[in-house]
Amino acid sequence: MEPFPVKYGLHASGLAGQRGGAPVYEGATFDLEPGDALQVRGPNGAGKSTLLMNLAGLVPPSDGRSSWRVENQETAETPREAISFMAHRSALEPALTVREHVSFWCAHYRNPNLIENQSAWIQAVNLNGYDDTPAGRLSAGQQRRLDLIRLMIADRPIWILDEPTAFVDAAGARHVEQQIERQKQRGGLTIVATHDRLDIDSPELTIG
Amino acid sequence: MSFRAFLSRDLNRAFRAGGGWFYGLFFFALFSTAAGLVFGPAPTDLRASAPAVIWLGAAMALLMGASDVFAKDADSGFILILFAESESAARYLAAKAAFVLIVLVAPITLSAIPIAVMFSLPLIVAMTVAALLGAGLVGVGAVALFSAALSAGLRVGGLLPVSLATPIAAPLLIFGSLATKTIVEGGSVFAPETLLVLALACVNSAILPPFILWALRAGVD
Amino acid sequence: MKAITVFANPKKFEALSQCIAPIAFWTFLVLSAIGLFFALFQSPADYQQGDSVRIMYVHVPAAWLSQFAFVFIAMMSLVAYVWRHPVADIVARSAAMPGAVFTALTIFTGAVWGKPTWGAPWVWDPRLTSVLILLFIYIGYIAVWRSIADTERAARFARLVALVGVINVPIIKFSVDWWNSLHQPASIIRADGPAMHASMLTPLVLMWLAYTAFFVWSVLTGARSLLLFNQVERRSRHAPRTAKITAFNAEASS
Repeated sequence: MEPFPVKYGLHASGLAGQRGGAPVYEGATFDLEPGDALQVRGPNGAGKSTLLMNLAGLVPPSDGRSSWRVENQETAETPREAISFMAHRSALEPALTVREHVSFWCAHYRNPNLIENQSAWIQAVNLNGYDDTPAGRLSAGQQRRLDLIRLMIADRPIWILDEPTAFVDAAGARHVEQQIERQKQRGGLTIVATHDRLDIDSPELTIG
Repeated sequence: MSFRAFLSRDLNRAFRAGGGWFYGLFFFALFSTAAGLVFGPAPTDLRASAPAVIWLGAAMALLMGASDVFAKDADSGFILILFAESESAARYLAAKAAFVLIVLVAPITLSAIPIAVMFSLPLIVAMTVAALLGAGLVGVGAVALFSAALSAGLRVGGLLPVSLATPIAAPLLIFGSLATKTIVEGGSVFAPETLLVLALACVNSAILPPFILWALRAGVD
Repeated sequence: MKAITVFANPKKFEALSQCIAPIAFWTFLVLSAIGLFFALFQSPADYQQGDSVRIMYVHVPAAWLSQFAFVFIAMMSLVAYVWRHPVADIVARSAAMPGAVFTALTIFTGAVWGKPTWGAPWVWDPRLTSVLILLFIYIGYIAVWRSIADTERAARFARLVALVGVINVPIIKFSVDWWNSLHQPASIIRADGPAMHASMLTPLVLMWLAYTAFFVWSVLTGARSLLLFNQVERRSRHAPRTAKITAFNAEASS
């Protein structure tokens, strides 16, 4: 387990967001160092997803500011090439099989040394035996697990995860927690919006 | 690298059962057949109607056939991830353009040859007409991608996005059918209208990509 | 720059529109009455076209306004895109309906005028054809606003459609011009030649001012009602939730 070569930090102060023109959350203030994780919690509609979109620079916040640090240097840009984003929907193509997804991601994220390890990745998320099953025929929880392989293949230091354990069973949730712990130990940064409290060593940002 | 990954992913999807890669071609064939029946069997009538039928049919087949190239990726959240994680949106668009060229523009262009022959044009004229059509369809393809990006972002399928995009394709249709008419009537292959078709195809392909990316980006939320 | 700050502040805009809208409306009524009087009684009939030339005074200013309104929408869209001024989107949106009405009026009066002049209500003249396509672009622009309930989202696409449209209209105009010069000799009599008598120019300018006043009134009242609607909607919203950070240690609690 090698640490990430570049370390990232994130600072947010008084961040507020809106969805469809209506304000949803306000006053999000926190500071994350390399190796930190943050759980964003709150009821449905509290603006957890909106906060993640604001932090990822996809939607501008309505107030406050957030800034990324690269090796302790503040940058105005969002370090996109370092981010893995897991949306609340699993970004899968229903017609393509599990194995096709894995090889597509290996090519997309340019991780050639992983191409031989495809089966290992599929096994790691407990999808063995489903290699040739189209993603559309997997259950919602299995689709979530498949989307998790994407993060491992991308191998990026910043994780922004929206409900990674939704529909996922207890063993799957534990696997997510393990992966986040591993990310922390490597000096990565994790921000995870979650409905169920995850058993990880992290502060919580509660909206509501 | 990503370009090839995107393209092979799309091709995989299109040529799979239910992928429907041939629907555009199918529509073009049906449209021309219906038009042939409407104009009647007299060779002079057919020859006179050929430019309009071929250009209108091919453009509509392309606009409608490409209308959902972004919709699935927008629905699944794939486009969101693309914008969140990288600056590779331009490569993604290039792959989609290549996909449209392979799956729609090329087959429609080739099928224009037998269709032109069915409209009583000699084979050599039919091939010239198809070559011109293919060049013009590159420009119409850019319009079709713009329409598809609007469709994905507006989250409405069907007629509104196509109607929004059709005016952009109007100049190409005007000069495309005009140049075809010139060729059918035995005029010069390099008449000014032919050169305008080539110029407009270039202009469309140059101007539209930033707007397509803008539409895709605007759909992310 | 000063004009732009008005679009940033809904309150200022509201005050401004409350003051200007009634003035614009009365200007429209008075000027169009005078303009029509001049058009019908004080200007000469054309020696070729007869009295039908008087349609020009309703037609030509409408054609000007139909184009001006679209350029205005595109400019407001650009302002909204670059400076993120919410009022600019609303102003652009409320200019679409009067713009479309002027465009439809241009086509309709053109057809009425064309029947005696050209012998047909419609000819594929470059101006007419590009005006017709402009009408379709207006309809598309309005449809975009109406097809999305989330106004923030609708605005993003409306700006895009407006800017693409404003680039597109001259290209179409140029294309149809070319198309005509290639295959139809220009045989259409134009009433708006350079040598125009003052008795024709007066009603033309009056009608143009009247239409402009109508446009201003229509945009201001439209924008005000949209702003009011937004305020009502805002009142029915929930207050935003506050985010609080808690240092929670999973190992310590379990």
